[in-house]
Amino acid sequence: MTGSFLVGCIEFIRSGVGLVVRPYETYRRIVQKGTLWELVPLGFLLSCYFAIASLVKTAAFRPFVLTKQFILIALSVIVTYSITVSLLWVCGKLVKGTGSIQKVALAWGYTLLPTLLWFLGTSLLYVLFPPPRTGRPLGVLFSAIFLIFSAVLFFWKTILTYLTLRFGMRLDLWRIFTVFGIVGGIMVFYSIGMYRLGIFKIPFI
Amino acid sequence: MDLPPQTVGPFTGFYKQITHWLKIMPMPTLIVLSIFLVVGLVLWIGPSIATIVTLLQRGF
Repeated sequence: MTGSFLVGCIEFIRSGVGLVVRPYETYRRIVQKGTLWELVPLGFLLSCYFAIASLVKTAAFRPFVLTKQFILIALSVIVTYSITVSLLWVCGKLVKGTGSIQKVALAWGYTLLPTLLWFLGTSLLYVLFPPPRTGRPLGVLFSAIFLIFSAVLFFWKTILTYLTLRFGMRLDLWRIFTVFGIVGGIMVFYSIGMYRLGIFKIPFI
Repeated sequence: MDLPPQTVGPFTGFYKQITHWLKIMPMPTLIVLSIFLVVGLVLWIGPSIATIVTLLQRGF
C-alpha cells in the first residue's frame, strides 16, 4: 500500500509536468497505465486549497466556523466531482463510448489541476488585491492580466476535458461535442443550484 | 490504444494543424490566444472589464 502510494505520488508529479509540456501523450499514458492512487496527492493539494479558502471566506480564526466551512467546501467538491464523472461516463456510454468509469474518474481528476490553480490564484489575489477593481489604468491593467490568467487556465481545462473523453471514453470529435453539450447543460443547472445554496458562486468543476 | 479516426470533413487538414500546436507545449499558443481575446474585450467594452473581474474575484 505504501509502495502504491509513493508510486502514485511520483506519477502524479510526472503527469502534472507532462500535462503542461505534452498533454496528448501524457493523457494517453494516464489512461493506459495510471492508477487511482495518483488522485491521492491531488486530494492533498485540494485539501490545502479548502483550508486556504475557508480562512479567506471566514476571515476569522474560529475553529468551529473554519471546520464547518472546510467540510462544506470539501463535500461540495467531492459531490461535484462524482456527479461530473458519472455524467461523463453515462453520456459517453449513450453515444457508444467504450471506456470504464475508473479511467474517466482518473482522467477527470487531472482536469481539476487548472481548476485548482484558478481558485487558489483567485483566493490569494483576493487577499493581496481585494475587489472591487476600478476603471483607472492600473485597475484595467490588473483586470486584463487576471482575465488572461483565467482564459489560459480555461483553455487548458477545455483541452484536458477533451482528452478525458477522447482517451477515457474513446470518442471521436462529434461525439465529444455531443457529450460536452449534454453534460454542460446539466452542469449549468447544477451550478445555479450551488449558487442558490450559497456554496459556490463559481462552481468548482 | 485503439481510437476512432478524427475527421471533420473538409476541415480535417485545418483541424490536424490546430491539434498539432496543442499536442506539444500548448501554453505559448494559449497565452497568445488569451492575450488577443482580452485585448479585443478591452477594446470592445473598455474599463467595464473591471466589473467582470470584480465579479470573478468574488467568485471563489
